[in-house]
Amino acid sequence: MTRLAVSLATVLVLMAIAPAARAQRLLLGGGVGLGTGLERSDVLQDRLFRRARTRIIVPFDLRVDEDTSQGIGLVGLFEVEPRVSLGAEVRYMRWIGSHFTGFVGVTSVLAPRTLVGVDVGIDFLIPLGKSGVGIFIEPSLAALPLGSDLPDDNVLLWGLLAVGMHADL
Amino acid sequence: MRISSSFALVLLFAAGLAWSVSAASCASIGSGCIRNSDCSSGQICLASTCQIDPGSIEPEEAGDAEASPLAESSALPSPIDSSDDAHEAAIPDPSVTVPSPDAKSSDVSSEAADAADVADAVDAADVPSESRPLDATTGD
Repeated sequence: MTRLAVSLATVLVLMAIAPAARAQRLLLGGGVGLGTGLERSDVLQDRLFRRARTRIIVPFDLRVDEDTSQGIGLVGLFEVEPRVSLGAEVRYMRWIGSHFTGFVGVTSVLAPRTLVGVDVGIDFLIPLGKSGVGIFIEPSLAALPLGSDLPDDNVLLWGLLAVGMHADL
Repeated sequence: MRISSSFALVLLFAAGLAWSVSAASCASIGSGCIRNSDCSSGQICLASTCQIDPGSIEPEEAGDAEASPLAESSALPSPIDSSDDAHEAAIPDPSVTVPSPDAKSSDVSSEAADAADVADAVDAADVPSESRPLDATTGD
């Protein structure tokens, strides 16, 4: 009984005097933007490009404070004009300075038909004050070789430009 | 590095201008298709044009479409069937005991024969029913 009491007291004392360990903090950012661009496919015969669908993008970026130079991005894609579709994207993001971010990712359209491919791009963040809010400009290139939305298995190429607002959450 | 708001606006303007130029020069989405979802439901993109998806036509529907002319032709009376009906109508089968239109017609003919017999019997009596009262009154 005495041994148990001493053990409990020791544990309590150690817990009381031990300094709090510094935990990793998750840095979360998010935004919303509007984008479009040009798209190309071998199916297109009468010209080289056509305008890509207008899309609303909702990007979120996550990184930990121990290594703020890299993180993961999750992006919701909503093509709204002239046809409506829903998609998503997962990115590996690399912060280059405080205003530039490069990324590579897997992008997809999930409904009503599917498209899957890879993309690469940069985010150029223009801060507005010190509140963590800014404007992002995001040019990107994507190649989508897979999916039921492709006629005759042709690769679809996108050159996109999106502009929107970004904030640290 | 601090970027002024005016510089940001210049960048935005440049981006918008670039998009406008590209959209005007390259661009309308309208004609042709490069994605199946550019087409309406039930169609796919083939050779940059929307066409009816052959896979969307179910085999049963295709079978019905092929079989429908046969069904229509089978619905028409065949010459063999009509001749058989005519043959059966002309030569009744004596073994048939079920009442048939022929049997009804024979019943009708027998009833007519019975009525004719009654009329013959009245004629055989040679007593006109209308003349008797007249004769009786004239006799008085």
